[in-house]
Amino acid sequence: MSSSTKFLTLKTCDDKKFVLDEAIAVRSQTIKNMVEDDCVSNVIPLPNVDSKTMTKVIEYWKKHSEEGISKDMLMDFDKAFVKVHHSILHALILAANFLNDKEMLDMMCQEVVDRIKGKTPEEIRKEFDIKNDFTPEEEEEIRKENAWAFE
Amino acid sequence: MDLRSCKRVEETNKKMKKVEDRSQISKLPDSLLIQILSLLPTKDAFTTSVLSKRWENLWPSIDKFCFSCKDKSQRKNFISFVDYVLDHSTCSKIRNFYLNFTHLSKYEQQIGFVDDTVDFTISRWVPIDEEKNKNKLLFPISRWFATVVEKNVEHVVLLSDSYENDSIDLPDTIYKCSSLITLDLTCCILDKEVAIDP
Repeated sequence: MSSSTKFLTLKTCDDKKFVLDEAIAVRSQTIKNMVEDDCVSNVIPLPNVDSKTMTKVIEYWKKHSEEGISKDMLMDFDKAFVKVHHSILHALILAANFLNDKEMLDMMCQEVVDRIKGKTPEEIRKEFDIKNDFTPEEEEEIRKENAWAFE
Repeated sequence: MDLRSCKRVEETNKKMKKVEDRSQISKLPDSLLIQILSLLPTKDAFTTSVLSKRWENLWPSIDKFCFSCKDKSQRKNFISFVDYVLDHSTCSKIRNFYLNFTHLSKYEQQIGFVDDTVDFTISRWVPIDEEKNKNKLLFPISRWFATVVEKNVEHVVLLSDSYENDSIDLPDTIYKCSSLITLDLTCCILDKEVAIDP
C-alpha cells in the first residue's frame, strides 16, 4: 500500500457517485471489510443508500475526521446533526446500519430514544406520524393489562 | 339488518382496514426498533406497545431493563409492573438490569409471604400455574433476581437513593451467576456475608 491518499468512489442507489478519501470511507465497517478483502474495483455500490442520505453521512464522516477539532465542537455538530425530520432520521439509521458505522448508528438511535422518552403514546404518535391501527377496544385491552405504565 | 345497512358496515370495515401505520420509523427492522426500545427506561419501552400493531409485540424482546421506583405510593403498582415485564420477556440474554429499589426494601420486609400471595395488585396477572405461584412466594426483588440470573444477566446495577432503607437480602444466585460481568451496588446494605464466585 502506498502512503499517498487513496480515493474510493461510492455509488448510491440513485446512481450518484461520491469520491471520498479512503481513510474517511473506512469509518464504515462494511466498506472497510471490502477494502481489506480487496474486493474493491473502481466503484463501490451502495444499493441501500440514496444520495441525499449519503450526503449527510459524508458530512458527518468528514466532520468527525477533521484534524484538531475539539470535543465541544464535535458535540455541537452532533447535536445539530440529529435535529432532522423523523423521515431523514429513519433513512440515516438504515444507512448507518447498512454501512455498519456503530458510532453513528448509536447516536441516531439515541436521538429516537430521546424523542420517545417520557412521552405519552399520543405524543409519540404525533412526533413520528404513527397511525394508530388498533380499534378503541383493542387499545383499551392493552392499556388495561398494565394500567400503571400509562399513568 | 337490511341489505343497505349491511353494505354500509362492509364499507366501514374497508375504511377501517385502510388505517395502517405507514410511519417511516415503524418501517425500521425489528432488530433496530428493539435496540432503540432497549435504551429506554422500561416503562417507556412498554408504553410503545399501544402506538400501533407494529409496535405491540416488540418490547418483550428488549435485553436491557431499567426500573426505577421513585414514588412511594406507587410501589405496589411498580412491583406488579416489573413482574409483568419480566414474566413476558422473551430475550434469552439480559445485557443490563438496572433497578432503583428506593422504597422497596422496607416493603420487601414488611409484607409477609401470605400478604404477598393474596395481594390482588401484585398477583392479579399471575396465571393459575403452580410453578409460577411458587415463584410468587419469593419477595419481589428476590424473584426478579431469580429471573435475571436465569436469563444470563451480564451487568447489574442495584441502587437506592438513600441509606434509610433496611438491608436487602440478595439471593445467593446473583453472586454465583456465571454470566455476570459487573455488579454495581450503591446504597445497598447487605446483611450477610457474601462471597462472590470469580
